Amino acid sequence: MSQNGALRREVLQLYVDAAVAFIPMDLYAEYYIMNPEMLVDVSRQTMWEILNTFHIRNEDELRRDIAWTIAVGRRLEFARTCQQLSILSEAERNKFIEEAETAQDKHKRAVANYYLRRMPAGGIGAYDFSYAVFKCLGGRQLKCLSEDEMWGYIGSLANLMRSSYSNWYDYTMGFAVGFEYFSPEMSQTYLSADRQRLMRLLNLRKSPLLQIRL
Amino acid sequence: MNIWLTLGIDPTDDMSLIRKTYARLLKIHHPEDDPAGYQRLREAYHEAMRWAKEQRQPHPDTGSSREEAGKATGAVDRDEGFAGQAAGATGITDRDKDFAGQDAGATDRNDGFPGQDAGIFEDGHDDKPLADMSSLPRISAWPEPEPDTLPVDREQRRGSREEFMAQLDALYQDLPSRLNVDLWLELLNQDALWQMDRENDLARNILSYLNEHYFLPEEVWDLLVGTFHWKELASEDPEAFLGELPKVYAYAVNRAPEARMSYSAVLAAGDVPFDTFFRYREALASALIRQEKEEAQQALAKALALFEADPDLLRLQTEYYWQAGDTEKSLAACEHYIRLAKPDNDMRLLRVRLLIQLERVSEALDQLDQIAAIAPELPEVLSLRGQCYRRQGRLDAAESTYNHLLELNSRDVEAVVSLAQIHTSTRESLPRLDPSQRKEAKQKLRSKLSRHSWGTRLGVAVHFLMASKWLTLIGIFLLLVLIAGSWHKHVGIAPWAYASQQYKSEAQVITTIDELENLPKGINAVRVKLSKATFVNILELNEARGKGSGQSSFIFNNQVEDLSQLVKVSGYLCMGYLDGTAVIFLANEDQFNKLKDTRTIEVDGIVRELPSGSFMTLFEQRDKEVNYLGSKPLSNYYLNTKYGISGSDVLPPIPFRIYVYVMLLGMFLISLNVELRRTRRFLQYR
Repeated sequence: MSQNGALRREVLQLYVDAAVAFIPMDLYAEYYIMNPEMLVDVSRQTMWEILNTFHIRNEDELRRDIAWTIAVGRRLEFARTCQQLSILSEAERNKFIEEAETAQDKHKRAVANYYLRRMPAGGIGAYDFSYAVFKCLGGRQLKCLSEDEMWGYIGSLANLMRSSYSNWYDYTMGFAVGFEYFSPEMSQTYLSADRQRLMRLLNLRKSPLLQIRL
Repeated sequence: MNIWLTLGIDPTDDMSLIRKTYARLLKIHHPEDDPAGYQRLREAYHEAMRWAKEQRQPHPDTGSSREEAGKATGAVDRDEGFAGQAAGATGITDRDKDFAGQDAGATDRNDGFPGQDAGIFEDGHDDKPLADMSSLPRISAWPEPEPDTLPVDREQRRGSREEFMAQLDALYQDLPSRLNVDLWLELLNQDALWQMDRENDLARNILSYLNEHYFLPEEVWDLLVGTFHWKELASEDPEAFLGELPKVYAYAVNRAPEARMSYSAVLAAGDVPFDTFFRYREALASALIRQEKEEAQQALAKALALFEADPDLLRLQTEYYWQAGDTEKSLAACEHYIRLAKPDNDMRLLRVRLLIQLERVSEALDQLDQIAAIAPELPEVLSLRGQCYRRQGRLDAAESTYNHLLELNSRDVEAVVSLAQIHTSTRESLPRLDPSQRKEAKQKLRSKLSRHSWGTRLGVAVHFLMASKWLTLIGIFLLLVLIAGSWHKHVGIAPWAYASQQYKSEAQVITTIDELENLPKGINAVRVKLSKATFVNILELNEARGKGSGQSSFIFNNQVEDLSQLVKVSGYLCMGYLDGTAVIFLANEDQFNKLKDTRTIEVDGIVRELPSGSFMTLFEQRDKEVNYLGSKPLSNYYLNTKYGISGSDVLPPIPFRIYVYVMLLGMFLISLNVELRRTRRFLQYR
């Protein structure tokens, strides 16, 4: 690897550390924030179990998932919901939410409605990007992805992160809203019991977010 | 549900009676005023009609003539319910004709509507004409009409159907009528609609028509869906329904956002091709959802050219400019909307947001105060107020506002992130503060960031250490125990004493026997000047010639038998005097040769206690013979001066297994160190 390549990977590593810093929760979260390599320091079986929760069961599905996340991602669904809500009056929006066919759809519409005009330009792209970076690390750990492949994906994701958000505050908002949109059961802890952790992530000097700018 | 209780009549197969009862009760259970009651009534009506029909099915054991007569009677009753239909005397014949007609039913359906007048759709309406029967949707789940014996004349039914469709079209084409749900109710309650045997055909026609003419208010769609059960039909094969009747699906079954516009404002527009306007507005809404800017721009321009004062259009216009990033125009559209319509909080708050974007913060705050007077706890009000305060530099007020927002909704992400930004601003302003203020501000900031206590963090660190390195820690402990045990057994002196002896570079100068015999613990490298030193004719033999290795033995000088033994000589036992006391010392060859020339020798060596066996046995034997000591006392200590003060040859060898243990210990410690570095990083997170 050339010197430039090595330098580039050093810089990308900072993006990796920052992106995955949003994923851990609860009391041990900050240990993982400061030691991000530990997030994938698990057995092969455990790693596959984690990837299975994303409906990824083999190498091909992993690559397809990462490529899809880069190209489209779950952010499209949120954007679409917001666009649908944005053309409605307040009364019609409330009806639209109530008339959702499933409880899950209703929750999603409610979240999109709550943050309708408060979202940064990147929407919930941060949610896609952070989890995609994590999947890249997992893929390398499982030897499904080579080093070059992994860094290739991460390079694309880093570019997306920079083009979608201008600062880490907006990125945090994008991730947290995405989390609430797709994981309502867990977001209670993430946002209410653990919100000081987000504040520390955005403020403490040693935080990975303060080691690289968007 | 007891259908007869709902209808208020006894169970009967008299379909005309059922129909009349239904029509009467509709006036009481209006779909707008009593939707639940209306739904119950409709379901009861359908069930009753189905039951009545079943009761009139031919029984196997009754005569056909009686059956037909009975049915003819029933047909007469039914005919009374229909306007313009022939009396029952022709019922049988008509029914026969009907069967013939049934066989040709496909042909019948393929005809166009007789009497259809394309002129109905002229004069400015760009609506498409009624579809002919051949283009009716063929939804796979649609139940086919039963080819039973029906008393109503096929031509009469077709005439009724055409008449109904004409009425429907007339109702639709007149916008004020179109928006009047009572008129629709009246239309749908016509008897023509309640011929169960032909309801499906008519419903198909209606579906096809409404798929082209779909700009109806929600209440009318609800009425239609409730009447024809289109949601149930769609649920049987949603894809087919969506494919064949996309507009009905979007407007009635699964109401899309584009379908949620109102129509009444256009009534004030005067002579405007309203359906054209609705189509442009629909296209604009759709383009905004798909974020097709050019398409949206074109649709907006066309719609505005027709009618500018529609609130829904103004709202879409506001959204269009918002998406386009043109804040000024978005604000203008928003304010137009607010002036024109009964503004809800949503548009008012959007106006505030636009004012903030234009840095008109004071105006924004004024507007917020007005909204807050009615709805002070709206999250968006607090969010925008916080933004205003931040832009004005009033960080304390902003912080208080966001904290209030979090009290209302502890999961409000924007509040959390905004507070974090405020903390960042506070942190960055710390250097500009006075030292006394700075300290207090720092403490406040620390408490707001609420780091876990040291105890908690240590607990986490220990948790990870134990979880990931418990095996390593056990290994380290076991190795330490093994090393200590083995060392104690084989070496016998403390490791630090061993090391100091191994590598000592300075000897203590001894001048008296007391000093020699009372050396401080751990010091046994000495320099001594011995007088009257002499060789006592005892040789040390060593199997290996290397230092400190191999077994040593002692023999008398005169017992050396051959050259092979001479080669093994590694030391010469000598004796000298210090302070009047005899001191034995084990000399090397140089020292031995020196003693041939002089009786006084200064030597460096390691002090040891005299062994009980070994060379002492020989010395005592020799002393008896030669009387080396005379009356002089013999020190309890001897000196090994062969290698000076490097005592490696007299130190016990370290067993090889200890080296192995130490190597393993080193590996475990390296592994532990990786985790300790992680722990240090975690504890340094501040």
